[in-house]
Amino acid sequence: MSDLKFFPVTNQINSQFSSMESHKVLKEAGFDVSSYGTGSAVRLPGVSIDKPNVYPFGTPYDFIYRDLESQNARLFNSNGLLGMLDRNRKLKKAPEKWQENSAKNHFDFVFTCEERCFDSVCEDLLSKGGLYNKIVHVINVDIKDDDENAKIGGKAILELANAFKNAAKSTSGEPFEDLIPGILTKWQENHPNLPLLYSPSFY
Amino acid sequence: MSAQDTISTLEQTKAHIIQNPQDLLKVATTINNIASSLEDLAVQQWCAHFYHELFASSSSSDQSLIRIPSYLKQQAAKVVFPSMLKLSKVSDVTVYRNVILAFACVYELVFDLVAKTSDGFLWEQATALKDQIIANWSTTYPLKPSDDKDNDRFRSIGSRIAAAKFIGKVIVVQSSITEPSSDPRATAPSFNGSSSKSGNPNEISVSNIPDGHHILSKSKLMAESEGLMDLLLKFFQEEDLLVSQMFIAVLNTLVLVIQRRRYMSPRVFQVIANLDYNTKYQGPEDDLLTYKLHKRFIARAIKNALNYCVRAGLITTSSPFNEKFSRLVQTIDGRMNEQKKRGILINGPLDKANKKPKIEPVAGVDTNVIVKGGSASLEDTEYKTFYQLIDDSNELAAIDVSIIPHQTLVKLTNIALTKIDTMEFIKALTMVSQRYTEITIKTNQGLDAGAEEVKIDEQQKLQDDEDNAHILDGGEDENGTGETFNEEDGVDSGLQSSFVLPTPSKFSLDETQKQLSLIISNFFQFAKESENEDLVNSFNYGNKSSSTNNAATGEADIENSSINDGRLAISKWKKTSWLILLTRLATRGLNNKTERAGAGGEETQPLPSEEFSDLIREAIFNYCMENILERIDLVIDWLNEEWYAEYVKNSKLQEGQTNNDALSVATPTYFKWAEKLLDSTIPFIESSSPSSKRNFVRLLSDLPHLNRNIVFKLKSLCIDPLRNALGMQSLTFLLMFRPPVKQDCVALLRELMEENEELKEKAQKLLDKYGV
Repeated sequence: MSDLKFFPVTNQINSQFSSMESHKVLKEAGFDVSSYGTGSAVRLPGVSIDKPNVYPFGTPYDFIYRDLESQNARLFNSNGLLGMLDRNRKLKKAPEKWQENSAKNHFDFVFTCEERCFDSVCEDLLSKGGLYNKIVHVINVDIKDDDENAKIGGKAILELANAFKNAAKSTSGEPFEDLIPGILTKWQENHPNLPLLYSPSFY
Repeated sequence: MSAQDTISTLEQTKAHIIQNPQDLLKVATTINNIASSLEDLAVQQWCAHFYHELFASSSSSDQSLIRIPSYLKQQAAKVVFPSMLKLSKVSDVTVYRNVILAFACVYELVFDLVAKTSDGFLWEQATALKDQIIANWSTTYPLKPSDDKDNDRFRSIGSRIAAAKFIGKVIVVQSSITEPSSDPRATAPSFNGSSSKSGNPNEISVSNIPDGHHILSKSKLMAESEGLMDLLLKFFQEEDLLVSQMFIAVLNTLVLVIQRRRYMSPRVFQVIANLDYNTKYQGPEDDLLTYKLHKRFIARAIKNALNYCVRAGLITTSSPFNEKFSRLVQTIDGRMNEQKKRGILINGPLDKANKKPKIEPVAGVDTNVIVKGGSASLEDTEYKTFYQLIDDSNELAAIDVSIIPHQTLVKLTNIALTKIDTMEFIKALTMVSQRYTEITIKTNQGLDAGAEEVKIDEQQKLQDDEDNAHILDGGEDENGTGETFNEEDGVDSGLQSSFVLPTPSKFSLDETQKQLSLIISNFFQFAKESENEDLVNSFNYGNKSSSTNNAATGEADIENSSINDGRLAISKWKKTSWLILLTRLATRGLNNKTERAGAGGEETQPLPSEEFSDLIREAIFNYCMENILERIDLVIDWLNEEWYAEYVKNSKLQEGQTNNDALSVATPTYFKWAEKLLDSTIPFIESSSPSSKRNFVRLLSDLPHLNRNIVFKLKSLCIDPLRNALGMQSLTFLLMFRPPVKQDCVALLRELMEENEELKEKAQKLLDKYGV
């Protein structure tokens, strides 16, 4: 368990802030990270409540950025969307769908930032039948999806990832999986406003 | 060569196989030799990990995984089995876990190879490893057990999770593809799968082994599979400590098993239905927060497993477990939302520590101390004190044996009876017998003395009843002079006893609001408790008892009575009856200014009734939005009541005015909440989910009144490229079945035609079809 691999997973509705912020901080900290969405499409706010911007997975962030910029640069700058997309296009080319891509890479941990997303991942893993017989630890850190909370949540996820990394490299002789409940409890004590969910599942 | 050098060489070898899979057998032989001969842990970990990666490989497109055809994997498994057996004896959880997982990947291929080639030696090795994994699945193996057996349940979790998954694989491979039948007329499963209703007939399983195979005994393998299924199912019942990782892993494994063997699902569902994780003890080293988190994780895993089973068609609406599981999922959702609102660190009523009581070993029990410590004189009459023969200060007295599982108690008692000295036992029984004799004598004496007291009590009660009747009659004195009971100075006007009703102080607006919030939260607490069918039944039972009493006095049962002519909102308590009370409180209870003014006529400070009603509406709205799909019935009931109450109230106000038809009576409050609900619901409707679609159309169908605003809410749905089918479907429905808004639908379709090129064709088709 020396090289842990992490997935931050987002929901299609609006947790772009939190999951991509987690992607950024984990990547900057040197973790092997990928990020995915669990919904049917990427949905972003539009110029009015009844005109959301909907893009299929795979649409490049750069395209989305330019599209929104052309619609109303001032509005999307002020609500932080363009800033977020600018950050995202530097991290990866395009948003990808969990259900279609999860089998490509097998990670040790999957982080989700929304409970619905955690449920989707757990159910998807069940639906795939556990054919690879590989254990994956799915963890949800419930983060309110705005720029400020995403930053706080991103740091908190990094703390958790570092705790797992240290446990995996620990020479205490205690098996890694035995340490997980203790790590989660300690983290939860320090972050009472980010309720955790956890499930050991199978690829 | 150092271990590091060996690993570098092995990495190069692995890279070679990725490029040249045809060399796998040569490389496997080399790695097998290294893993069998070298004792270095790092090398052993690498080899075990490599075996897992090798056998887990499939059509994965990840370049780091090796892609090997199945026939090569079978041969490779044969080559590396000796080293896998050797690695399974290494005292390292990572090595052992990977060996188990590698074996789980290749088990069916080995099974298939043995079935085809009758390779007895390979099967012998496979059986040895399988038996070792099964025998150790609930132990700390490969770690040594500690002195604390309870603590050991939380150790070697990685290998135990892997073992659970492996056992699941064995169950699938060694069980029949179709449900075994004792009826000889039932068609046996065939290779072409003509009789198979579930499972893939071409998959590797015991069903494909011919009867009388030299090596593989079909009946024994199937019996073993049955036994292993029992082993996993019993885990939920027999594990008395809350080891969430194990509970979740076993649950997930069982779901994966019934995916392939649907006929096993009733047993699995029965066990899930009976699982009460709240009664499981916390680990000896777990604090309350860890215990709470374990419960939270298990609850969510159950919810996800059940939701998956519904989506996969394993649980259908006709399934006997459907209703129970729906309630279970709702209860879990309710608890989780409550926990989220309260904060994870704040303890709720169910968040209590549940430490397992320590039972002293039987060998350490000194029966002399027990009997000498007891007392033959009994001060209180609690049942347990009849049998307690030790001092209260003794730590054993603090143990509540009623929480120890029945089976364990029976075992403890049997062991104790075989060890105890006969004379001491007789002495103890004599002491218990004396206590019974004493208490029986005291009780008989007490009955005689109590008879007088009962007479005095009855006289007092009679006097109190007269006083109460006096107050309820309006305080008139016996002469009918109309003199009233003076509440303010508490003067007792002619009462014979000192019974005085306390005067309630009037609430300020803030206090009223606070009390109302409390009432609302009590309703939702009650809603959660109403999930418990027993509670609902007991409520009806209580009512039934009272109505039976009424029947004795000549009154009919309420359900059949003349007053229940369809106008009674609640004649029998149901689990949603709380909503009727709460919605009526909002629509008619608080919002009745006009009636009150007419009835009393006195000058009182008017209450901001609409504001209070909105408090209730907001609470109902939030409750429904927590799980809109599951609570669609509640939404419909609520909004129907909103519309009806408002319609009736406003019709009365409009009486005498012309044009008093149904459509002209304004119902702004109803529309405000209906629109708010749709605004919050529409963005989350998934067109890919049939239940989501069905419930949304049902909502539109059952809303009592629609207007242009509501129809135009569908616009966002229609212009969403992924969900416009649902939007157009909803509009079609409204065109067909809700004529009052037909013109609004037409207006929306025209607008869509003008603004959206993609929808032009569909909209035109609808406009043509409905003759507009």
